[in-house]
Order: sequence, then structure tokens, then C-alpha cells
Amino acid sequence: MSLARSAFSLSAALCGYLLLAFAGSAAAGATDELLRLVPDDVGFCVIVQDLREHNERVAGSPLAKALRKSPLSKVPELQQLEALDQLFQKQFDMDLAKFRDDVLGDAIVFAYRPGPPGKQQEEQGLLLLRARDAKVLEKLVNKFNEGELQSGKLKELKEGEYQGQKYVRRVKPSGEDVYAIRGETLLLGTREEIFREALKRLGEDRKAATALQRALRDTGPGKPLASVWINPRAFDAELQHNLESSEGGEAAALRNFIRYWKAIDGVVLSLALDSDLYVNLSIQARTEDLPAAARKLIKAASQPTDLPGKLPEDALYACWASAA
Amino acid sequence: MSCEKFNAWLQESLDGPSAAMPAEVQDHAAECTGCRGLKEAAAKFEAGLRLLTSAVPGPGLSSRIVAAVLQENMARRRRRQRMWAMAVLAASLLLAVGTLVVIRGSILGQRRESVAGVPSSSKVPGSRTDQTPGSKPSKLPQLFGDLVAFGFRPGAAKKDDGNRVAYAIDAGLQQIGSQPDNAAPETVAEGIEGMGSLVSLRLRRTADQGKTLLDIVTPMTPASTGPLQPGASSPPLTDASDSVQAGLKPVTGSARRAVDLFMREVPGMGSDK
Repeated sequence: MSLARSAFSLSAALCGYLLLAFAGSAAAGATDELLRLVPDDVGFCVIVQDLREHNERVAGSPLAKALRKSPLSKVPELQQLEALDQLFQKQFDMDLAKFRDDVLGDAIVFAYRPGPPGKQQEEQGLLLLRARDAKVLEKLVNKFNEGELQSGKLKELKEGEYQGQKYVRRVKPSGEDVYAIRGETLLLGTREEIFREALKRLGEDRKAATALQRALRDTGPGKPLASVWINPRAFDAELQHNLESSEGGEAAALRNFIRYWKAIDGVVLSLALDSDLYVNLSIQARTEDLPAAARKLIKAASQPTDLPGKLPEDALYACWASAA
Repeated sequence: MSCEKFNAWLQESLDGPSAAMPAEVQDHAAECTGCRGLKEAAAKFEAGLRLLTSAVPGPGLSSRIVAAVLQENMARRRRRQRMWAMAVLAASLLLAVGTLVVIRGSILGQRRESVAGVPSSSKVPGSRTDQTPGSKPSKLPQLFGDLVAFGFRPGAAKKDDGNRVAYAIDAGLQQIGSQPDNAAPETVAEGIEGMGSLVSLRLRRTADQGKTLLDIVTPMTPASTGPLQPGASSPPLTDASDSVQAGLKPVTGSARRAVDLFMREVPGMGSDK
């Protein structure tokens, strides 16, 4: 009897552990699934992931409990948030907590492709979202469209098609945007060009990781909540354009800057949580292409150090840099 | 070898440790007058740098810095004391005037109550005679009514007409009226916009308050630098941070545009203006 009880407890614990591990990997998978849809030549990409899990962790922390009891809990912003919550319930039949957990909780990606030099108005934006519940997502989008049609912010909804894949064009008085829902994934583009590229990638079976996926693999300690990826290659043309139109000291400085810039493959700034809060800045560069002075600096900085281990346990904040 | 490659080599040799000059660089310098001139200038520049001696601070520099900081602190403390004195004076004045107004108003109210046959049109709106029996009177209309009875007319007081107290009360009332309208939003978009306004207002105020802390660190005046190249048409860049800022201009400009695009185009984030 005792053996059976122990076996049951062990199985329950194992199931719990597996469920937790599966939930964590599912969230990471959701982010990766969205990242592979982002075209390689975007300039910026903002990623928010595991919002649900991070929220649970932060809300249960002693700091959050202390804040709830402090005068900060009575600031007008929070009252406004309560009003917004009521409106949200009225308009979409769900409260903000459900919206946060079921719609925004897994992963959100916003990618931006700048326009060519001198044609900045040709910029393109792409919003990708992975919801926990496909039905909730679809209902929310439909209700949102209904509301905008009634208010006149939206003139009509039209059907679009690209390589046999159907999508929706939202015609507004000042232009249009396009979107498609595929299961739990929402794709929204400010222009058809970038949207179609994402739609095409969705149908492809890509195995190799994109530059963006590689850049976000190792950005520093902690579990990332929000990250911004800057792709230097997207700005090369404008930098060259600026160099050609500058002269004198400015041109010399810009030329020198470009030598460093071209050796950089990506920059990631991320906010990560663990038992601590981390702000990580990661710069991925090809050291062999850097000027000699920078190579020397990096060589010195990449020596092993035990500095993080020497930080006091009760330090309020700490800042260090390392090269690898 | 091209002039561009020669320039890159020259730049690297200036940045890093001195290395032997490759044969192709020597050949190019022998052929190209411009590059040879640059190489000679770089050699002179390095020789000049080696001749420079480290600046030695003059005697008593630290004492002068400490004295200047202490003087600045004293001045700040005096300013703060003056501000407190003014605030205390203003609060006392306001309290005294408020007490006077309330006492005077209640006396006038009692007189009005004792006067029989007063036509209803002559009653002062908001005064105690207007209150419905049983209802809990609000203090603000009462005070306002008393002020009216006292001869105070909102909006009528002027800064230079001698009645500064009336002007101050009037200005205060107008300020209360000009508080941001916190009317409940009717749509989710309005709610988000309202939240955004509140948060940005809070951030602005926090930044304004933070500036007082920044005053402690007075920025150093950059030393004036001569032109980098005589006759150059564009202004010279003073330091490395300027060149990085100039280089990052496409990135920062695009970041601003990306935020604008997100706020403008993503449904629910704002208006389509």
C-alpha cells in the first residue's frame, strides 16, 4: 500500500515536472515560430515573450506585494486601468487579465523595415502574435473590426489572396492594412509586401535558423521578457548615402564609424527576469573585421574574469561587460 | 594598392601598435604624392604626441574645486530657505484669508437669514439659504457663495488692481478648473489613449523633478577646438561621441519612425491621424 502511494506520488511529481517543462518549451517554441516568419532585412525587431509566466512571477514577488500596499497603488493610472478593464469587458467580453494571458501571453513580435534612403515613407511594419487560444483570438479580432466599422475608423473589409492563401484587407479612410489568422497566430502588416513575405515563410518548412533567431539565442543571463534586435545591414545603404553627402570632418568621422559598423552583425538589448532583473546588451561582431584598436580592446576584455563572482550578495545593482 | 587601402592601413597603424610597413604600402607612398604627405603628417603627429608631457594640476586645484562646490551648495541651500520662507508666508496668508472669508460669510449668512421678505432673486446662489433641508451641504459652493457675498467676483480680479488676495484666489480657482478632464473613456481606444496621456504626464513630471537632481552636476563647458581642417566647409566634430551620434542617425531616426508607425497603424494603439 505504502509502495503504491509512493509510486503514485512519484508519478504525479513527474507529470507535474513534465507539464511545467512542456509549458516552458511551448512558450519558447511559440517565440521561435514567430521569429522565423520575420524577413531577414528588417531594421528592428521587438519581441515580447512569456508575458503570462513573467507576470505570475512578478505579481507573486515580495516587491509587488509591498507595492500593492503602498500609496503607489492609488495612482490615477491604475484607476484608469480599472476603467479600461470595464470597457474591455463591455466591448470584447473578456477582461484585461484574460487578454494578457490568452492573447498576449505567449509571444508578440513587431518588425520594422525602414524605407530606402530619401523614401522613408515607404517603411513597412509587421506585427505577429501567438495566442494561447485560437478561438479567443478570432473572436477578439472580429469584435475589434466590428467596433471600428461602426465608428467609421474602418471603411470595409476585403478579401485578398497570395499564392492560394487568403487574407483580409482592412480598408481605412487613410490607407489599408492586411491581416490573416492561422490557428493561434495573427499576422498583421502595414503593407502587403512585408506581410506576404511573412505569409510565404509560414507555408515553408525551414530548418535553418534565421539571423534573428541566432542573435536571440544567447543574449545574457535571465529569461528574456522583452528584446530589441537591431540589424545593422538594414542601415548600410542610408549610412553610405549620408557618407556621400557629407564632407570634411563629418565625412572622416562617418567613414571611421562605418568601418566599425560593417563588422557588427547584430545588436540585442533585452530585459530579462530571473531571481534578479537583468538589462542585457549584446553586440555580435566579427572581430577579424574590426580595426586593430578595437581588436586589441576585445582581446583584453575576453580574458576570463571572476568579477561577477566577487559582487556582494546584497548589491542593489551591478554593471559589467564581457567579451566572448 | 589604392589610396583607399592606403588610408585604411594608415588609420590602423595610428590606432594600433606600430608595425613594419608592408612593401606595397611603401610602393604606393613612393608613387602617390597625396598619400605620402598623409604618411609624413601621421609620422609628425605621432612624434608630436610622444613629445607631449602629461598635464600637471596647478597647486591648490583640489582646494579651489572643494571651495567652489561648497559655495554652490551654500547658494542652493539659501535658495531653498528663501523658497520655504515664501511658501510658509503664502500658506499663512491663505489660511488667514480663508478664515476671514468663512467667518465673514457666516455672519453675512446669519444676517440674511434674519432679514424677512427678501426676494428670492436676491438670494446668493450656493449660500446656506439655498440649501434644501435635510441634504448635506457641500462646503465648496458654500465657500464660493460666501466669496460672492463678500464681493468677490470670479474672473473680475486683476493683478494690478490692488486686491492681490482676490487675484490669488481667482487664479487658484481658474487653475482648479484647468485640471485635465478625467472623464470616463467611452471606447477602449479612448481608454488606451487616456492611459498613454496619464503615463506620459507622469513621466514628464518625474523628468522635471529629476532635473533638479541633475543641477548638482553642472556640465563642463567643452573646450573650444579649432577647425579640424583649414578651409573645410562643414563644422568639425569635436569628439568621438559626436561621430557615433552622427553615425547612428539612421538608426535613431528609424527607431522614432518605427514607434510612430506602431502607434499609428497597429489597430487599437491610437488614432489614424
